[in-house]
Amino acid sequence: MTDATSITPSAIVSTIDDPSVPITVKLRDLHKIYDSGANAVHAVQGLNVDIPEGQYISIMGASGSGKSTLLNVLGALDVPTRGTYHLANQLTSKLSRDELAALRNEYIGFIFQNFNLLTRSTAVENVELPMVYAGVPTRKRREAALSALDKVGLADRANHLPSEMSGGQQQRVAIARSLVNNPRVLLADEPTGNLDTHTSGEIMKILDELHTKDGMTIIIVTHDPGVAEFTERVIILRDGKIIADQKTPRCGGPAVPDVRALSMSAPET
Amino acid sequence: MFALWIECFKMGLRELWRHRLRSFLTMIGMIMGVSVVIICVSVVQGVKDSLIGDIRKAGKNMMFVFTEDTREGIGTIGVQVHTNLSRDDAEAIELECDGVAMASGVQGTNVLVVSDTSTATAPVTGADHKYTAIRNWGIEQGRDLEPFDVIASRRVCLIGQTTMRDLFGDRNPINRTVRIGRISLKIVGILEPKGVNPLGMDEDNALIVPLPIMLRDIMNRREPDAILCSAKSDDDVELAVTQITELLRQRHKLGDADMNDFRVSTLKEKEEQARTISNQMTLLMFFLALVSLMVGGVGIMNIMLVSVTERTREIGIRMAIGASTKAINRQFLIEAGVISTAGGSVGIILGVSGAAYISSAIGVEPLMSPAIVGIAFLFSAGVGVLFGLLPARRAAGLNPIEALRHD
Repeated sequence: MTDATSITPSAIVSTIDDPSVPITVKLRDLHKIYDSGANAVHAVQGLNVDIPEGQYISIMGASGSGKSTLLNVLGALDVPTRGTYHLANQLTSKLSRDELAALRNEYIGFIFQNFNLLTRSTAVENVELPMVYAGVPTRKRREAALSALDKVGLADRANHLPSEMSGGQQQRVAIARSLVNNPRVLLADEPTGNLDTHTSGEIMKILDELHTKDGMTIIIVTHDPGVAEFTERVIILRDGKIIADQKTPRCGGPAVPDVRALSMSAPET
Repeated sequence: MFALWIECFKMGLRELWRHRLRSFLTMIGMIMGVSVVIICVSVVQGVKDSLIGDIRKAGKNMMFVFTEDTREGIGTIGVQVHTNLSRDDAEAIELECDGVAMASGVQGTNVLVVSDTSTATAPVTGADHKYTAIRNWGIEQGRDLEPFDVIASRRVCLIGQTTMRDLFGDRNPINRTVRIGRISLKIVGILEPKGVNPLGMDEDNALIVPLPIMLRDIMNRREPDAILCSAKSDDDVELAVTQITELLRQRHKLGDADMNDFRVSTLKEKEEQARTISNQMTLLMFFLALVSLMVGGVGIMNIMLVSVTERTREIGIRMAIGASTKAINRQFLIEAGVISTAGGSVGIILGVSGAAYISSAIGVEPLMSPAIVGIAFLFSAGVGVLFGLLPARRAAGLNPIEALRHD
């Protein structure tokens, strides 16, 4: 742990071992089966996961590991076939489409690999959008959006279109957008996947700050061990099951395995 | 909830503005439909009004009694020498029917009229001194026919504006003479201009002569073909028709089984006809316009469906960050509604100006009622919403996960 120079992220004080912290995300025996006629795909098979409030966690897995499915369920974009998902003590597995939409709006902030900004809307309009659906009045909305942009260091780019910004700037707009409704959990899907190393570092720094300063619960879905090493805990999926659930080196755990190597070797064995 | 409507409205407007050309092209169907409705309805109504105005102008509560041949085998084509009516009939109608104010036997024909410098064919009408009063026709210069002119068969006449120009050019025709065949007539009065009648005939091409001159000297016959009457008031027209019919049946000694040997027609009938025809025209136009509105609506639906496909990703993003199906549905519905109402509004402007232009070209006053404009506007909005339903539902029904992955 003293050899801090070899690892970019610094050691941090973590709540990871504190049992008194309330659980934000609770999955119990979670199954997701895609039934396309003859062959059903069992994408996620009986997951049990507790994520305490304020935890910074990464979910890793090669493609086909059930990672995306889990992300969709965690993001309330999809409902599990079996099992339960509690988000901030709310059972989400039985909600209707519109209830899920409201839940996403209020409780979840999304950050995507390809940013997913509205291309014909300016930065500030993009950041305002979650508040539009939350019914925040226009003036308040604009203020909140501008302060969120300020927080990610883009106050001067408020009226630029996404096409006029670099990838890193676009992702910062997306982060600002994910934060404006004060969500309970931030879900990042390969947030640095489309960015170069330097910009990736910037983005990870912002997420790290959100975790350390604001105590935000952050779930990063990635296959990049470098990204996972920023977090406190890593869950590794393979074939819809958890094969590892461990602390990262940052919190005194073992080294994060490279899931890309796992997927490479899988067909050969 | 109201706030969401406003937001959806703003987003819809912004979206349409970003696709200006496409929005405009989509609107064309609506623009056409609405402007056609307005042009057709107001022009046809305008034509109707001017037609009815012309009919009313033709005379005061005017009624015609025509002779009708009931004898077998004799058609009414060609010069009809036989008539069942008489000057005594006219006199009796005026005296005995309380619904009738005035009646005059009339006889008309087209003949060659010769002045000292020119010749022209003009419709010449033989009538008595009440003719101008019944026709509601003033004298511009000189005097009207007088009872004595008729009784004494004086060789005088009144001349219409067109005939006057044809025969005398710019010269004053008063006290000059015109010749019809061997008969010379002195012009004693000039009729006021009356314009073109609903049948398109120039009323000012006229020469009015005392009835006896017309019958005896020009046409060589005993009695007139027709009697021109005027009811005491607009409300008396129907009563007058009944009275005239009864009186003439009695005077002509017709039994209960006999058909009328005359026909009474009123301007009111003609007015009704004009009204019916123009209302039918309006209805026809309205249906044509309805079809073009529907076509416009289908155009909107088509573009909206394309737009939904094109913006699948955007819809996915909106859903991911918390847009409900209702919000997405509303957004697209409003976009369709905005396109069609914007198209409708442009259509109203085009329609109103087009109606004004066309009306002035064909010489009628367009009848623009706010009701038509209002209906056209509401209709266009309705069409947009109706044809926006399907695309909006499709957008709202998208699966957010698939929509997000769409490129």
